[in-house]
Amino acid sequence: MIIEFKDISKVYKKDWRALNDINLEIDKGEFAFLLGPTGAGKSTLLKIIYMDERPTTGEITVLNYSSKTIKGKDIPHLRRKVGVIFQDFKLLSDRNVFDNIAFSLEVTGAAKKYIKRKVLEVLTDLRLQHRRSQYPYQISGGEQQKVAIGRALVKEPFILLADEPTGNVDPEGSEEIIDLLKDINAKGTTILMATHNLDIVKSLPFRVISMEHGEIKGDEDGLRRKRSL
Amino acid sequence: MGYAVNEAFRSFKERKTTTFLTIGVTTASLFIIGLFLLVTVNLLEIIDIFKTRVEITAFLKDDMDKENIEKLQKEILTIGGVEEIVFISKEKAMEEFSKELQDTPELLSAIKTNPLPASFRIKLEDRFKTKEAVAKISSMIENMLGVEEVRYGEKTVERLQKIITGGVILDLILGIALGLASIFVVSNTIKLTLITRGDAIEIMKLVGAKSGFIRRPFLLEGFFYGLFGGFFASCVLFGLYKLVTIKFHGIIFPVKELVGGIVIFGCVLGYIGSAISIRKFLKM
Ligand SMILES: Nc1ncnc2c1ncn2[C@@H]1O[C@H](COP(=O)(O)OP(=O)(O)O)[C@@H](O)[C@H]1O
Ligand SMILES: [Mg+2]
Repeated sequence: MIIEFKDISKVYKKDWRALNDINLEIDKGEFAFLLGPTGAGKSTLLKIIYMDERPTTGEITVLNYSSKTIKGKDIPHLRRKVGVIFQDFKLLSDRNVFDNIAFSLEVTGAAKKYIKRKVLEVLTDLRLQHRRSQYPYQISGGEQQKVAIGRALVKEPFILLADEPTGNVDPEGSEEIIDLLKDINAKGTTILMATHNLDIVKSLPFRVISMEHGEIKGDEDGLRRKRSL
Repeated sequence: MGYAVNEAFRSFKERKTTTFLTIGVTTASLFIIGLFLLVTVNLLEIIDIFKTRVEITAFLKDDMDKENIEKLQKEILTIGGVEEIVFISKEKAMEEFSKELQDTPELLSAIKTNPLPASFRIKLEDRFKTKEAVAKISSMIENMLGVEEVRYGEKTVERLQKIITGGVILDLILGIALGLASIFVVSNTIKLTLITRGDAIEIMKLVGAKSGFIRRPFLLEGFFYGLFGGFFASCVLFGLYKLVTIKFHGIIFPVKELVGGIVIFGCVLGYIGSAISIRKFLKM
């Protein structure tokens, strides 16, 4: 098990309970959906994993890092092992596709040669080589999300957190993104994808963690769902 | 490091007016600070010249014989701070006095006996030329056997001291006030940069950049404002100095100390200015 939530609650602004008593385990190599309506607490749960938010009570363990003992200077090291993508892509508009992907290695001080090799590798995997010199505004939403995925993957993370990754992508692009995530998972990377879109979840035989009002309402195993599909 | 420098220079290019104003304000502040320092340095030099003239005169009682005078001279020399002591005999005093009265011989001829006392002229080491030290040494001498009266330029010593302390205090106040103004302006400019780079900062945090890496370009940007401000202020100051020395000679311009001081002070101010903004707006 690589991620463990123990009795986690998150309270915003003194009395707003975004997460309430969450207990959850994510295993290595899993593909899991985090399903719930807007405001259910999905994004907050993901933020707790990459330690953008700290739990108000309880403890989360990610790999060998614990929210109780992690020091500020260790958080960058944790984030180099956790990839995150968002609904709004969060690409740098003044950098082209290649440089956007390279960025996540540049900040770690990696060697130029290594960065170039690694980025080209990822671009090839994503079938984005032909877009490498273009800027985010010159490509489609689906392609932008692929660039964001590339930026996460180039660090070789053990887990990819996807927060509504298809929210700003047309249906065709969405399908492509989901297929891509499946491929990435098949190669061994754990995937946790937050979504409010029941249609996406229905068609896929993966674990589904349902959330509502900051609580986990259901947790359905992928294997069982496979049989019922 | 190359990345940080590039980022800092990108800010300059993207916001030329702000950059110009920021460097302008730091230049102006550092120039004024430099100007006052220059005046102080020159003032201290003038005061130094005056200081060499500060001396204590101890008038002796008339009944002192040669032996007693020598004893007293040795005694005075043991006082800490006394550098040199010169004996002026009654005759020598009369001689000097006569010279002063050369133009009015009738006054001189009216003097039948020599009314002038013998005296010691006592020179002090420089660091004892403060009001307190001079007064203390004087009273020690005054209490010695055979000394009639002690005089020193109380007023001169006091006045010089006031000028020095006044000058230094003014420099300090100006340095602090203008320094704070520069810090304020730089930190505001850095705030602008932080806001325009908000997305990039968020992404940097997300992909695991260390806080030092994120901070560096902004610290460097602030540092550069100070560096350029210090450089330009030095240039203007030196130009002004060259202009003034055409008419007035003997003005001191300690190039290394003054230029070095202004540039380093500027860099420190710029660094502090950006550090303040980073602390406030980066929250890390
Ligand atoms: N930074 C924040 N400050 C205050 N309230 C927040 C903050 N972030 C989220 N919330 C609130 O917490 C709840 C859960 O939000 P979120 O985790 O974004 O849900 P979801 O991603 O499922 O839509 C919502 O009611 C939201 O308004
Ligand atoms: Mg959300």
